[in-house]
Amino acid sequence: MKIRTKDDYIKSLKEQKVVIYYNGELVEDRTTFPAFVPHINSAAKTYELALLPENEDLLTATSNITGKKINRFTHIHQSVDDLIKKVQMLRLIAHETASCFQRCVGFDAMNSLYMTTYEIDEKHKTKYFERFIEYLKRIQEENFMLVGGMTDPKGDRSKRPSQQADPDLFTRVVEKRKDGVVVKGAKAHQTGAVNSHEIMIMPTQAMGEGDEAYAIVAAIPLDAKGVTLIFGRQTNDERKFECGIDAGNCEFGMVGGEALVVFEDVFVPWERVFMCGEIDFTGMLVERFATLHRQNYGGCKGGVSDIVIGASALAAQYQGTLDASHIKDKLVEMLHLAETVYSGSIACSAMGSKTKSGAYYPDPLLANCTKHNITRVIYDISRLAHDIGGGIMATLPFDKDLKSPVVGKYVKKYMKGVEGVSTETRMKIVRLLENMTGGTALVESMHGAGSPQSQRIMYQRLGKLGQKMKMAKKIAKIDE
Amino acid sequence: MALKYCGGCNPGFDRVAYMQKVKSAAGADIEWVTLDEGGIDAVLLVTGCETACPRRSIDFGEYKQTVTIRDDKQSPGDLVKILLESEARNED
Repeated sequence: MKIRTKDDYIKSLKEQKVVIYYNGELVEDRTTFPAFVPHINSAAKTYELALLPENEDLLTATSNITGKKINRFTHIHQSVDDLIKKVQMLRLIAHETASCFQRCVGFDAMNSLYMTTYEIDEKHKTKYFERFIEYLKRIQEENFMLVGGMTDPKGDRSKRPSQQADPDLFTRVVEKRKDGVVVKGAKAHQTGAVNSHEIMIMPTQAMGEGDEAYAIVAAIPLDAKGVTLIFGRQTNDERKFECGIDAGNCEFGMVGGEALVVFEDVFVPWERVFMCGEIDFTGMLVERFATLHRQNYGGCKGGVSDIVIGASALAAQYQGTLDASHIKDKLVEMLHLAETVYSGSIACSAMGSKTKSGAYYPDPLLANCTKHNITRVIYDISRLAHDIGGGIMATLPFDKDLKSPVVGKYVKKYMKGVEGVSTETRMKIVRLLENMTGGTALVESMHGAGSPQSQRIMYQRLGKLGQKMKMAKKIAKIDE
Repeated sequence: MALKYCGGCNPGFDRVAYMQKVKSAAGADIEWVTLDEGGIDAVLLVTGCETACPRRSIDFGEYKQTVTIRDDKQSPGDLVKILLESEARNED
């Protein structure tokens, strides 16, 4: 079915029966399960906003394949302007959800595969690009949600995939048949998996000789036989079940609703396979996916930070400290940090270039710097939010205490701030800050799109250190 | 008149709320359409900041008149007057 509206999206999820476990129990209906609904609401915004005239310039694009108007999350970047619009779109949607809306991962998988399959075919005379175009046409037409499945569990990090004691710790091909391949293994930390339709599995790292079975790219429907999802536990997750003040952001998710996706001998027909054994292109694919994904973070996290800054200012206002000079200073610092991360995403997009396939690609060095900044700056912003918000964020009574016929009067009386603002309003904003600035929300900033060390490795490769040494020698008049 | 919004990545004002007031002030004097509908002479471009992104990707030269709004400082009533009076101008 073609998905246009939020209702279409939910209906499509309901029709696809996926095996998902939450806290040891099989989930019967993922569209009504209270832990998943906030994540569905977040992802649904990527459909809803595309239908609004005031947002369509960012949320829609014209397909380079069919010429049709499509959702931007299914688009292949055709210009620097497309790269910039991607970042702008992410900031916009984050303003609506104050959390991850998950669809960028599949978007980045599609773009990295478009570029890379083109170049695999050029070298190996394979037909992956042609196959991928057919798959892409279906995504653009049906507008379904794709998980970008890169991260393998990896087991012993000091060993290559083929050297692991358990060979399944990296996803691999266990059998090649005339009509397709059989896949075994798992993908960890999969953003948006429980409310997506398909997963694109990709190699998690550059593969060497002997690792050919692990050089696999394939699109797998999440209801395929042998696929099992296990949802990840999040900070304060059960507060979402109450749908009250304590959740902080009851309607939308916390980060992306990540899951472990297990593949137990899953058959994939050849028309859904876009790499199989080409180890010489695994490094290129991983680097491209990582760059495209790291490009995003100043957009979405910049947008999420806008909400944290607004909430911090409101918390200060509600307790009568907004006009204090140190609070103003801290808010200014937060604004500076948020615009700094956004600038990084815009910069790597503006310096993007055309690949052989015709698709555009952000500057990889700047994209890595952007994400690396996120691993620090979001912690700094959150620290300032905690500073401004005060200890009440950690000691506030329950929503049920506020509503209690016995102690409610005390909560209302003693948790009140300035006149004219109810205690309930103050509690709402404090809980929102708590939700957005601690636990799972912070860890995602550190490790989402790769841990900081993976960005540092890129600096060594792309940072032109030798050229910088030459420039220094020239200025110092050193000839030797 | 065709109404065209920018994408709204980080607008400095509520573009939709502002346009509701403009539409209300215009009443039946202005018929609002979209850019996709052909045969348009005039466009009101509503953007959330000075950058006015659609100007990068759309050639507004093909329309007789394009008015760009980048903030909500202009009163809706005054804007309607400008739109009605500046028929032959390409005003920015």
